Amino acid sequence: MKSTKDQIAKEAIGKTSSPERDPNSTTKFYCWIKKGVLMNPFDFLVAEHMKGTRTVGIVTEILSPTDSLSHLSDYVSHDFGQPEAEPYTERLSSMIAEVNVLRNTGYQEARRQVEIMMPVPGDMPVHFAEKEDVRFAMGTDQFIGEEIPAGVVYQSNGTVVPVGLDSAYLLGPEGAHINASGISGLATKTSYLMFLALSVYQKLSKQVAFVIFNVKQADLLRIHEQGKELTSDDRDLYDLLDLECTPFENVTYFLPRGRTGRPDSDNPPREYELYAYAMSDVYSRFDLLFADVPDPYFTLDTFNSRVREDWRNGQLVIQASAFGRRNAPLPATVRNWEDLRQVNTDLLARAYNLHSTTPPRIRRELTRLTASPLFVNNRSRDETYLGDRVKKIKPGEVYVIDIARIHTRTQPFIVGDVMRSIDQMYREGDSAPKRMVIFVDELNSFAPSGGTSAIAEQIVEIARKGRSRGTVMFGAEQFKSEIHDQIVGNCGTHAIGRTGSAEVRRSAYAFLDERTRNNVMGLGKGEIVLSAATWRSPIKVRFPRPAYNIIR
Amino acid sequence: MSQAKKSIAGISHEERLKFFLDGSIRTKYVGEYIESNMSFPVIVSEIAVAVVQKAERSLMPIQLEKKIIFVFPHKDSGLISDSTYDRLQDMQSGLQSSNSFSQIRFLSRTEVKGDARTSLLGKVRSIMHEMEHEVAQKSPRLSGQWLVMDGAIRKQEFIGLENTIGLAKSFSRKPFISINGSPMTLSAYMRNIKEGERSAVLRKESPTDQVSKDIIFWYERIRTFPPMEPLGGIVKIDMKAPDGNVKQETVELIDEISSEIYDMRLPSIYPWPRWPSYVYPIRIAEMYMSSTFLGEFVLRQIGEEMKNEIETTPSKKA
Repeated sequence: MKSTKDQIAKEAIGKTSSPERDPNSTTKFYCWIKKGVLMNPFDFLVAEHMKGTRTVGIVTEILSPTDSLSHLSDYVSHDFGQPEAEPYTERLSSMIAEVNVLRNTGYQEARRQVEIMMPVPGDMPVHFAEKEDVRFAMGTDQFIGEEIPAGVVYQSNGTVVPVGLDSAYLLGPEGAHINASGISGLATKTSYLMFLALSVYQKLSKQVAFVIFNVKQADLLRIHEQGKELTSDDRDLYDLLDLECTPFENVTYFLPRGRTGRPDSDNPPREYELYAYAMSDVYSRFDLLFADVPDPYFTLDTFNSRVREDWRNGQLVIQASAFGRRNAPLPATVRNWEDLRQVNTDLLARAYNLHSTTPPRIRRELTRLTASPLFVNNRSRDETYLGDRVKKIKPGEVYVIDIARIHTRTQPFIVGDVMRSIDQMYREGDSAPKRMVIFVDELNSFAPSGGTSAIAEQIVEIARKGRSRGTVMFGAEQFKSEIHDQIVGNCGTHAIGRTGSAEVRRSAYAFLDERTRNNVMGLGKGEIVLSAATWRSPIKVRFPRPAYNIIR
Repeated sequence: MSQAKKSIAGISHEERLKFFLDGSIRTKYVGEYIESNMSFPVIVSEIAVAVVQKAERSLMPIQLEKKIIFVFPHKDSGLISDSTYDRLQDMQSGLQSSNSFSQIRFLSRTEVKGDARTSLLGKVRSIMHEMEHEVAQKSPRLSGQWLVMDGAIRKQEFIGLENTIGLAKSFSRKPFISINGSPMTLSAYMRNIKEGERSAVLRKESPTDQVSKDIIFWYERIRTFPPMEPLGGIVKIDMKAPDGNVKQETVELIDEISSEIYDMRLPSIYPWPRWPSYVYPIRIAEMYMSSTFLGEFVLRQIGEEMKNEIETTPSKKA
């Protein structure tokens, strides 16, 4: 027997309306709402359609027209602007919902299911969508891959529906990447991406490896510990989403080497690996190191190439072409950063055919960029090179790389270096995990809009190839407009938290219609608007707090 | 008789005026039906009558009656042949027996005056008044609840309706008002009636028809701003006359009704035509009816079909 709640859900709450001025279309329908019914943007509605089919849509706007022709009519109706004048009767008014069409249930034609894309006619009964309707509209029945729980839809009539993303579109091969943006603190974008990462981890742990960059204090340095702030509501949501309320397992933390050889991290976890960079690790990646140094005449590029080409057997021999002549500088052998910093600038100029002003500049930049204790002449046994380490990641493993306290000029190098190693791993070997999720917060720092640096190009490369080979970016930033166009363009899924009005009107948000943009400006904390490639309109979801421990 | 004008704004009153009735007609002229040396205009009319009820501060439509009416000339008018008249009568019987939404009516011998189209339209209006009366009788009023009909009370049968007033936005400007023996034009008299005041309660002198004998009426100015012509913002109220002279309790009732009508000037329907004299519930009844009317093309099509039917259907008598 159906419960009263079910009966209410089935009850018509209004009817479609298709007047001359605002007729229903293939993408949109309007309906008036019965008095007393509460409704909000992002609620799912079902309108009855022709041939007994039903069209599911999502509310994008609610209008409240009255029969008043103008503001002046209302002014007149209050005795020409007397606020205390009380009209004897209420004006005729209604609530009109504007609904984006998502999907029609279709009818059977021979062996084919035919979806009706014609506009919903006027005067058709409209209901609140039930759980099955919402999931149907989200295309759950057409998923190619696994369903990855992505959040919960709360309908204004009390219906709660768990919704998921198709792994084939989130992790490839049909689509890839997710990008989260929104105002810092309010948008909860990191929490959302980590929740989604946990969903992927639980549903596909044997296929997916995770590389996570921690950029804020110790935010992600306890993801293996059980969360301490979880409420019973959170636990209910995990149940509803068919997820375990448990943290990540099999986590390895990589912390940056500090001055004393101790980790340069806030609240380091008990077990970790230190990472550092010897010159022998990254001699071939000087383009990443010098990424933010202007190089209009490609002199740095020449230097980088020569270092990469001349490095042999753990050392670089710099030798002037005029060696043997009088006054010619002696060759130099470089094995570490210090050696490189000490190379005679005249030798460098002659060896690499550089203008005399260039070697001092190289030395200056090198000193500046390798000043961090991360750059060591020789790595100790306890210290690891991330580039090598990341190539050994296995499905089901989670690597957390802490860069929170690293200087902002060095952070991009670390990210770029890891990205290049991942790129290499997928190009070179068969041992790469089938899918890899790379979580990068503050993505705008590494791949800014219009950026052409080696690091930006490296990240764009991952974004571009990710769909086919399974390297999937989970990127987050405050302003989507500030990240590289190609990253936005390659993202199949977007999560948007509360966003300011100036930002949301930029072209990076062109995939949202005007109504949704307006609604995004009013999202609450913990509310996310989710847009996926296969959906005709974005939806709003809530999600539980991460199941891992967050250090405040 | 209450011979003085009176300020009625702010007089406390019961909420009596609960039901608001209006009728409306849409007519399409389809063309002339020509038969040898005779012809008559074919018109099709859609008539609607609606009642809106006020509950608390909300208005809710509660009754709607609709008909499609074809009116044809009387058989002795010289406009219609006997055979066509017979065919139409057959069709009329058929429609009546099937309890159809459409009806065929004929002018009576006395209703044919001058231009045929004017007479036909007059008949349609008369049918609307019949419908208004029927609907008013059926309105589910409780004791003490009054009905407001849009327009003047013109028909005798309306006099029989209890607790009913007619509220007219448009009225004749011809009457002379005579109080204490000094006649003045309506405009001159109303010049002294300010917003929120009613006129004296009046009765037609030497009435020639029964309706005029049976009603009393008064005018009320519900708006003066923005500046408008002298009779702008005025409504005329008709009410069944009490037996004998108007007593004090009737005057009190009139004052309360006037006060309630004054309150009803808000919300206004500005800037619709004649907005200063409108009360909102009547506007809602009009809107309700308008929303149910057939489209112009559909109504014309119905008329065309009737015209074709007249041409092609043989009379049973023939």
